[in-house]
Amino acid sequence: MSVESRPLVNGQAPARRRGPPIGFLQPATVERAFIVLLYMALAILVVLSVLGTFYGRRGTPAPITAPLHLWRDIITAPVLLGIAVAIQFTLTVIQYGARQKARYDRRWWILYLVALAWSVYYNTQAYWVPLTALVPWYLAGLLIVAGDVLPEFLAVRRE
Amino acid sequence: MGTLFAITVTVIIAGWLWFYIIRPILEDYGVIGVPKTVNNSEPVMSRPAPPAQVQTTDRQADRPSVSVDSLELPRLRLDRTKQAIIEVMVYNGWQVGEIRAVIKGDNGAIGAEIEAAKKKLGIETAENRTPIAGRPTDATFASDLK
Repeated sequence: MSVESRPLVNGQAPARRRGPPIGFLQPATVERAFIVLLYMALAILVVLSVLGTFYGRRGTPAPITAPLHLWRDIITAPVLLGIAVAIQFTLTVIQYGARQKARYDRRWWILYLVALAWSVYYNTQAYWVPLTALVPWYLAGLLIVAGDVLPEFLAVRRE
Repeated sequence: MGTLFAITVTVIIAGWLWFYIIRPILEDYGVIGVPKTVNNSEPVMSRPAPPAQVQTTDRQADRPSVSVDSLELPRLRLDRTKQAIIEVMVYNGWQVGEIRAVIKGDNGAIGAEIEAAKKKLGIETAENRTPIAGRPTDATFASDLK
């Protein structure tokens, strides 16, 4: 039997140094800050989804480059805003729930895709024109779809 | 440069959507890879038939005679409990120490679940008998020690 001997420092084995002793940010702090940033992005995407449904129901593009115009549209149609919130909430619950059920029965994927497509449809009506003015059409389409999927990715805990 | 950036972002987003949505759907429907979910039309795994009582004294000994159908891996698609996994491991010859090494939880609780699984599967383990000088451990050796 071989025994590895090490010198003790104050009765305890010295900690093994893993690299140069530099840096002032704790890894846990950086991780927490990143998670907070992700949750802020989640909140922004949720707001954009609701606005997308609002303008999608109106059938008009969202004036994302003119926030004051956007605010005026919202306060002049509070009922439509409430309907947009209700629709988006329902579609979100269906989308998230169907994906969880799809773990046990693949047929739930169909409902998931229907809810996702419905939300993408509203957001496309609202954001296609302003986005294609800024980025190529293929990227605009993917951004609209990702904007509906990313909140689910961030919000639902995975085990 | 702007087009290159747009293409890069497009590829990243498309790749993420592929791994997060499209590939899981295609795998579940068997288009690619191995399906992870079970169709409802498939019969639910039934409980094993009462097995014959078998004593296992050797790790290399014969496996207990239990119904194979209910202890195959597809059962775990429906029964996602710790008890189900322990039953599959016990059936496949895992020892207590091996199971405790990979299953999270209190050792005592895991041991109790292992015992419950063995009882359910009809696996009887011979009592550990430490041979002590002068004390026979088995009837076949009794005559040798006299």
